[in-house]
Amino acid sequence: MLNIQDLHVSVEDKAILKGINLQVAAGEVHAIMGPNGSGKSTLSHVLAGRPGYEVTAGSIQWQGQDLLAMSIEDRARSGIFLAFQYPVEIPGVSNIYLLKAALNAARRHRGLNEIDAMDFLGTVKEKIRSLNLDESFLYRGVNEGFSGGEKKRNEILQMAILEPLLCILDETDSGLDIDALKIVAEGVNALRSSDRSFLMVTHYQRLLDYIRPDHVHVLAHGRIIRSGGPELALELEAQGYGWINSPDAGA
Amino acid sequence: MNRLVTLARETVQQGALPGQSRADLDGLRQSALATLEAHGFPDSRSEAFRYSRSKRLENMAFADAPGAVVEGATAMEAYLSPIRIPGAWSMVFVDGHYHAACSTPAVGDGLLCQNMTGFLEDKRNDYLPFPMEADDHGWMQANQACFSDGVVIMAEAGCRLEQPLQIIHVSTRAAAPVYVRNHIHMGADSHIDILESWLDISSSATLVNAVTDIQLDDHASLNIVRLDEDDRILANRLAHQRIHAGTHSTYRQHTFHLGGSLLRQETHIQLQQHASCSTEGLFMTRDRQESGHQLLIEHKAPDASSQVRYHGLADQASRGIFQGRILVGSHADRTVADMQSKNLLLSDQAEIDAMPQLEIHADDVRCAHGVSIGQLDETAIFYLESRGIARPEAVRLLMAGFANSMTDPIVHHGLRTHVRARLAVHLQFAPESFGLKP
Repeated sequence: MLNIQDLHVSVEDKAILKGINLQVAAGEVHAIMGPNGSGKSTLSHVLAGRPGYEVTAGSIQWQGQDLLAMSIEDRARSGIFLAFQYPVEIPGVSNIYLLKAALNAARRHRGLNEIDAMDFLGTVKEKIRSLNLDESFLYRGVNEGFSGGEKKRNEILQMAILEPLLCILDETDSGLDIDALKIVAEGVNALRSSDRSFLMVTHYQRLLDYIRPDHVHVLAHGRIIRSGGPELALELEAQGYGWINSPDAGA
Repeated sequence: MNRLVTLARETVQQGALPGQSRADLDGLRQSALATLEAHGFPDSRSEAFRYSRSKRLENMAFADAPGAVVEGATAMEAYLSPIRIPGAWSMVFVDGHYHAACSTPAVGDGLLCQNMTGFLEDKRNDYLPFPMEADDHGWMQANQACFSDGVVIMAEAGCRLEQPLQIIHVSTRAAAPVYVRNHIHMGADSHIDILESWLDISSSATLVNAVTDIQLDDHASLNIVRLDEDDRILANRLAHQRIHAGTHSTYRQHTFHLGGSLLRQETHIQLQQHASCSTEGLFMTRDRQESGHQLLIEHKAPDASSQVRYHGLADQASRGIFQGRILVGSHADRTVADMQSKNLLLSDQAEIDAMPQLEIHADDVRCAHGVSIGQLDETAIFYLESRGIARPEAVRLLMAGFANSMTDPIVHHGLRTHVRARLAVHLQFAPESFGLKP
């Protein structure tokens, strides 16, 4: 589904990613862990297509296509979803308008008709209840005045409506208390299926208590220095990131 | 002598203006004319007009071309119906003259709602609602000398109007400048919601100058929304509001400048103890349009509050001007004042001049102000793109949201819904598209 080969990325001429190799198959859940500044967020932003990141070498294949040649919106429409670490507030544009516009953009991309307004409202109301959000959220400006936890739940709501194939969660657990974390994790787990993959970028292990990954990768100094199963996350939790002390550790 | 002053003298000398048969009112008109002739119109040496291109209006040509000739009420209604609020009271003025057949003046216990000409011709009224102040500039003197009509509203104590009143001004021809004079007196504990809609269907440049005097007695409240409906570049409109807000009164003003060649809104509010006011506005300019907002709020007594919030979007070679000044008098302790101006420059040629000013002579106050002028937020654009929305649409959506967020604070549900729908049309969105809870 996703195949990253020898990916090198620079930001303002500074090398951040220095040769990432990662394969994600359909239905898999991967966790990318690592200390601050290791390049975790860069990886998720490059996948979504954020401007300002220069790919200096390597390739990314997405469903057999060259991802790096695709526009941001086409990546989204073809099923890549980035849940932002800091979701953006857009006053004056309602949540429900954005949800509908995004869903219809994806549907048009797949050659489907725009969704029926009543069907859409029904689906949205069901999903919003499962995320323990109030219905009034739909009619408020996108993320406007939302608390940190509400913003993260709103990201999961968008994800639940858009039903992407690859969900990238960028530090989704940051700033969440334990109750909000559980709700978010339940929302994510409800979306797990054999054709949907997840890439969870996180600093801490605690999110992985609730969303069990198939694979854990440790990213440091722009490279994946270790990969393993869920037990690797526990090991990191016990040891911290202190053992990663030089750019060449484990390489 | 410039053309506008000459026209003003001719108009007053003809002696056919409303109420001119009364010596007292004619005296006011003559005296205003004399001041105008002596001092002329303000120019860029005056701080309030420093950034304005209003000087060019003084010699504008008024075509004799008939413009859109609208015969009869039915033909006029075709223009009015898209901008009418269903169920609202209405007062319609065409080129500065009251159009009774298209109007349904508000009716209520203790309410007088009448056009100015009718009010002045009524022999029972000896009241002359035309206070002038020493620092009134030339445009206000011209208005005093030449006003042809307007609205008079007098609400007695306790009079509360359920339905809003819509005042519609239509410019159909550009034969002469139009001077409108309104007077609103809100008795104690009275309440009215007003929407002023301005529409231009003429074929050449028009000029409208409106002055509104507002008195709010104790605990009265008044909400006024002004909506410049048309996006044509023929309309030049200068408006001046003078508000005396009595103790515990509430005044809210929302101004939406969506088009026009030169639009200017001057607002002067004087707040007594525990009075509160909010003045909010939106301008969206393009081509060589100019939209100016000039504000003076005086806290004359303790415990009053004022809130000022303006959003501006300037595209192409247009210009937006915000001059806000809050003056807190030496006895006005416990004043709360906040003034914010947020602006987006959408082109290299556009210009925005934003000057917030706080002048505080009291010790115990909470005052804040802020101004920002910038471009659209690239992070927000990326956020929308990452949801599958292409950049041009994302940009359009952000601009619409920025504009639309100024409708949120409109208290009256029907007015808010109407303004949102009109704004959506103007922004070429489907009317329901913002989806914000009405």
